[in-house]
Amino acid sequence: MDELVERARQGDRDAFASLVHATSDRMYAIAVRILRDADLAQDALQGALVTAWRQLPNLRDPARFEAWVRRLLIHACYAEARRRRSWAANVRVLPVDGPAGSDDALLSVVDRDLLDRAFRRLSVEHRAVFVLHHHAGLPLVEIADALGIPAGTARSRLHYATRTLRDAIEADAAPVIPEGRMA
Amino acid sequence: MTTERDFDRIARAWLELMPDEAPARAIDAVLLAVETTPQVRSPWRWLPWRPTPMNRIPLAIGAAAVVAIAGAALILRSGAQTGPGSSPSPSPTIATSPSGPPASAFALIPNELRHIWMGGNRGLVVPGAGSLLSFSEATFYFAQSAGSDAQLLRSVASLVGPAKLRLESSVAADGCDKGDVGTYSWSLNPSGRILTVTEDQDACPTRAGAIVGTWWFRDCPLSDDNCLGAVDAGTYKSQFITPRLDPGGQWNPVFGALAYTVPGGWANTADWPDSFELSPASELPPVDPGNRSRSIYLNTQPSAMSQDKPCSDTGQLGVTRTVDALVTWLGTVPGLIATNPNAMTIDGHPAQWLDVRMDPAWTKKCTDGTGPIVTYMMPGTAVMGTERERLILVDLGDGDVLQILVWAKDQAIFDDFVPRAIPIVQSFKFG
Repeated sequence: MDELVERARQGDRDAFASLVHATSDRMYAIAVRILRDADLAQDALQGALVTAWRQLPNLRDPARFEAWVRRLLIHACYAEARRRRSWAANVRVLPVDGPAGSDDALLSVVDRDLLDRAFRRLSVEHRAVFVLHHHAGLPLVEIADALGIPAGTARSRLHYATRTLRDAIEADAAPVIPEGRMA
Repeated sequence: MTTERDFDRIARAWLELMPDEAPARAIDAVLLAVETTPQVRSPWRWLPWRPTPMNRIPLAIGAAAVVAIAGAALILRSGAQTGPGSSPSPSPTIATSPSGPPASAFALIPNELRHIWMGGNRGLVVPGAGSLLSFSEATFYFAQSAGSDAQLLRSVASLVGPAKLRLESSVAADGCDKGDVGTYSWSLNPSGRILTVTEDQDACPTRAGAIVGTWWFRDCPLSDDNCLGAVDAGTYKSQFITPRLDPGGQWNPVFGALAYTVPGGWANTADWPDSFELSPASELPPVDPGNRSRSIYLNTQPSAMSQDKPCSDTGQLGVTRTVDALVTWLGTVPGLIATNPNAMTIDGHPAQWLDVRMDPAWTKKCTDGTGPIVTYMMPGTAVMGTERERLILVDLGDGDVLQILVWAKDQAIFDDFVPRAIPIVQSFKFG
């Protein structure tokens, strides 16, 4: 990976294409979880990767390429969320049918819906911390670095997001699927 | 009751339900854009750190435009990239307009103008909102600076003299007919960060009314944030922060809800509906965000954080959101060493300030913490390690409170920074 980064820094577009193929799935997975919208996530991914290409000659440490792109991606997610803020009420819910896993039984349809709704009430900054921690598995220090915030703020945001989502599940145990949910 | 372990499993399972593969079309669009996008190899201080918005539609339009002006773009790419600080300079000429007739020769928009420029309300956008101008090498549009991404007054842009700009409407919209032509004079101040546009003539008066005047270079270090980034000495206005917005209230953009005056060497490093930041320009990239050492940070409508559930962003019962109540309560927060409150006035509004730091003997951490921390105000205000903070709470009236945090990494930086920061804080005007 470091060699590809070095070649891309020198302007090798094929090397950068290899880097895109190597990282885009992980980046998209983060973006789509933060933004909860496939189209916005594509926009954020494209913006981050094109910016990465433009700014790559200024990346000092090739070993930090993925962390650096992740930071660009998070900021691109912020920008997408901001641009669409006035449309927030119209953001559609992603389909819930995904890969089956051993945890499927753990997650009821009601839980999914409650989590979807609670998550969309969070600010994009809180979502980012939550996704980087629970999906990407990053420690808080790395999350703080990725977001450009103090570690204390990252901790605070994670706790707030976790509390909000946890409360959503615990506060509404009634087995009713709310109306208006789009599958 | 859901245990913490159960919740973590539920959360992971829920997150796993979403797709993991980037759509091929998204990757194709990136690789197509990269084919026609030069890398930036300028010194960092001239970097256009803000990326061009890369929605799919602009990507497609951009690809078409690149095909149309490929020859000229090749000429341009061979030249040096320039940034703010350049004065109007000749650009490569091309023989035909991307929009067809007129076929007279014109030049591409020069690099120093190819940016987003921020300004005040000029009509065409919602009342009170700010505006922006966007120039690329051959196109122009006008837009609301916050809360909308609709591109207005879309025009083909070219240079018809050293400091003469030609705009030709590419669509019939926003009060202009397709093909309406206007010419303007433009100039940059010596740093290249302030653009002045004056009208020579325009067949579309709506366009003339919208774009003449003074504009600020948008150079925010945070991706597509609309903060200004490094600024010259002078007075500026915010685009996003709305200090009187109630928590959870419907946000609408207000240009100039905060005005501030800075000397040279400062930067606006964040501008959000509920927060705003000014930092010394020396804190901008390539300084890593994790290594930043000081800033002036504003949060709207702060409230006391529960000390029974620190780190949780749970409100402290019994502490109302008033300056007096919050200041009194801060003196009781465990682990927080606070000076006595002092009165001050900002833009005629009564305020109180106090300096806070963490008790060195404090050992409590947040659950996932790596070090002792005192979380004391929502949203997300904390102090840890050697950090020093001057907390200023401003009573804006009608129950609205603004928190201003002059923050430094340690005591020495704090002692140096506060005398530089306070005059800026004193310059704040709330629109």
